[in-house]
Amino acid sequence: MKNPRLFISVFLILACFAWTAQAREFNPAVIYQGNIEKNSFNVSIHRGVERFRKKTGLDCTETVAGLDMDDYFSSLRSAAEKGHSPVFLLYGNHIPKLVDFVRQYPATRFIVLDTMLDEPNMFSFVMAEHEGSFLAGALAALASTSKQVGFVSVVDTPFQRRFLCGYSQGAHYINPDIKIFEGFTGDYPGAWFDGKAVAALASDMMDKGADVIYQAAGGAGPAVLEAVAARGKLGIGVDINQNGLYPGSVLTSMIKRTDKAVFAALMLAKRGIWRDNYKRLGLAQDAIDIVFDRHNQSLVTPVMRDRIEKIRKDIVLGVIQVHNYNENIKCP
Amino acid sequence: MPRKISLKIHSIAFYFIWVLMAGLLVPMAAGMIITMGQQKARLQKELDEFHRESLATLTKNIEDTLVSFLPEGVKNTSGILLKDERIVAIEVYSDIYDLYLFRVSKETSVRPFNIISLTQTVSSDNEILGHVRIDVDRDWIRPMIQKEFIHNIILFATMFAGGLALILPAIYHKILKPLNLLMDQAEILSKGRLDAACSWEGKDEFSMLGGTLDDMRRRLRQNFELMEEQAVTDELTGLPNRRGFTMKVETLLCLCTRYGHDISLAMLDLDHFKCVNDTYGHGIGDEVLKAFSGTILERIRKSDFLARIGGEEFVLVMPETDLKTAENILNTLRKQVSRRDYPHGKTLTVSVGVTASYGSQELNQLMALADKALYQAKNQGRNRVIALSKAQKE
Repeated sequence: MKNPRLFISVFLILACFAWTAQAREFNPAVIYQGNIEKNSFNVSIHRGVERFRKKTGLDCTETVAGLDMDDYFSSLRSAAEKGHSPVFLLYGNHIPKLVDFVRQYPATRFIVLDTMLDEPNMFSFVMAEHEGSFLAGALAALASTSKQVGFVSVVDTPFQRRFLCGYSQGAHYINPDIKIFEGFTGDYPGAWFDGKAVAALASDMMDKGADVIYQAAGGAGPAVLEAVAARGKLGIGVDINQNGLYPGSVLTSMIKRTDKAVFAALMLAKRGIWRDNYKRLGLAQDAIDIVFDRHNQSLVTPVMRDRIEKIRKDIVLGVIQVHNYNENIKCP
Repeated sequence: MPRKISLKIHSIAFYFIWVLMAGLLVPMAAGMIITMGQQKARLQKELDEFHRESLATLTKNIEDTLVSFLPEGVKNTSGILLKDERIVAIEVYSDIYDLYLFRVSKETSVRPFNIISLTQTVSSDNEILGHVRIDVDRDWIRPMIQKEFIHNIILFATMFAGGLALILPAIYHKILKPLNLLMDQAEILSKGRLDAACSWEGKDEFSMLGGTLDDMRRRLRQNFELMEEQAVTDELTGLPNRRGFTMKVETLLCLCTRYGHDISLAMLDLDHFKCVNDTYGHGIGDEVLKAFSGTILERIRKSDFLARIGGEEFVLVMPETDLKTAENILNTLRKQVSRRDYPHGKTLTVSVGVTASYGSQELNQLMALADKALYQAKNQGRNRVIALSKAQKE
């Protein structure tokens, strides 16, 4: 038992040394799409970069590219050609032909978020959104009186389905007979900011009887929470704490501490630790969570809270295995 | 019948109960408190040791895990440690990445724990890599203590009951019971009932005391009987004295009064006895009196009895005898008396007054009547019998 592990460790360390030798100097670059302030995801990443700067005193180049994919790609190329390494691929799950692109720059290290690809110069940082979504689903099932809950998103990708799948597992864990409505507005320009479309979808679900709706709709998401609050139902926020947007109507928010992931990724790169090209951050790391604060205090009873804490503990310890949709593109 | 063991506040039994309480209960309570304290300390120590060992286990070889940020490296160990009910929470934090590698707690808002926290900072080459923290449940020892407490209570109660089972019968049989018997014995004695014997067996102090008390009773009784006899007997003649006579005659008189039988009572007085005493001395006088009483005793019936109630004064009581018969008997006696010689070498005469009861007189009335008759006999020249009945008197 011990020897094979030792062997692998030695092999990995040697491999690391080999890679470190051929890799370039630490000169990180982060390229945003659109702008920083208006996108909560970008804000979160920027916060991580700022913390890195403050703590280490080292610089990290930040570039903002246009929403157009070609524009984004040319920014990436220019960063790689200028000798930046590592280069952050922030929207890994949206970038087409990522593997082909990465292979064009074997001397550059890429750090990708939310996507896992097995390439030697690619380092994946994955947030276990399915774990947080599981808790959101469990809480939704505990709070729902109609025993019908909804999920609203925009583009139907495996990445978005991961939220849905975790949510559905959590809801079924509490109540195997619960009814789950799912809806995607589709892929079209500006879809991620089309609040009307997602709100219409949510209204439709509420008409059918859903009384808790979880939105994983990016910039369009707050419109869902607004629609739900207007009808006296409960919404669940995503990415950042949205409990305070409509106090008393947002059951909880499934938060992702992307800033923590970015900070940790920069630190790992700075220290030259590329031992395994995959890091996963979830409930156990406090990088994913659902939020309980004063805004949803009246919605969550101590008994519900207690139940959630127990489920969280079981997930962390592996007693409850939350299936990751991306592993086999299937949901149990 | 032996009385019940007294439980009054000043009784020895009550005192013994106090002593037993103080002597058994207090040391046992103290022993129990000390034992409990030691057990608590032992459990506390055990918990502390477990706490430190758990932390050491988790911290072992953790530097690389912290530097390379390998959450999987601590998850398994933590999972195993958390299966122990004593561990409430574990966190492994990387200062480098500002991120938890692992963090879980059993604590919830519904079930808060009373926590003891132990944190180990991990550093390498003067750089702080992170820390490992383990929280254990301080209250874990509480149910154990309670269990131990119940065990101790049972143990000490058994010891106490065992002690009592041994001591109480011993005290009862060896002290309280003999003491009670002694009390009874002494009380009977104090009431003057000297005839109630009490036998003691055994050689302990109480038995010896009891035996001595009974000895005392026996001797007292002997003395008392002797004194009683002396009180009712005339020393010189061996006849009943006035007191003996009164006691005996009153009983007889009662019986005769109840059944209406005759009883005669005579008073005999030696004539000129004072001269005998004066002439020949008291020694000879006494001898004369003895001879006289002997003469009378020889001749009276068994149912009659003679008593000496004064110097030369005698009383003869004749139950079931009427006055006439009595007078005859007395005349015969008077002649017998005058016919013999007495120690002073001369003859003597006797004067007699007799009366009879017909079932109604009191003793003193009878005596007064007999005395009156005697007086008449003396007046009429002595050496004669004068009979007086109640009717005659009136």
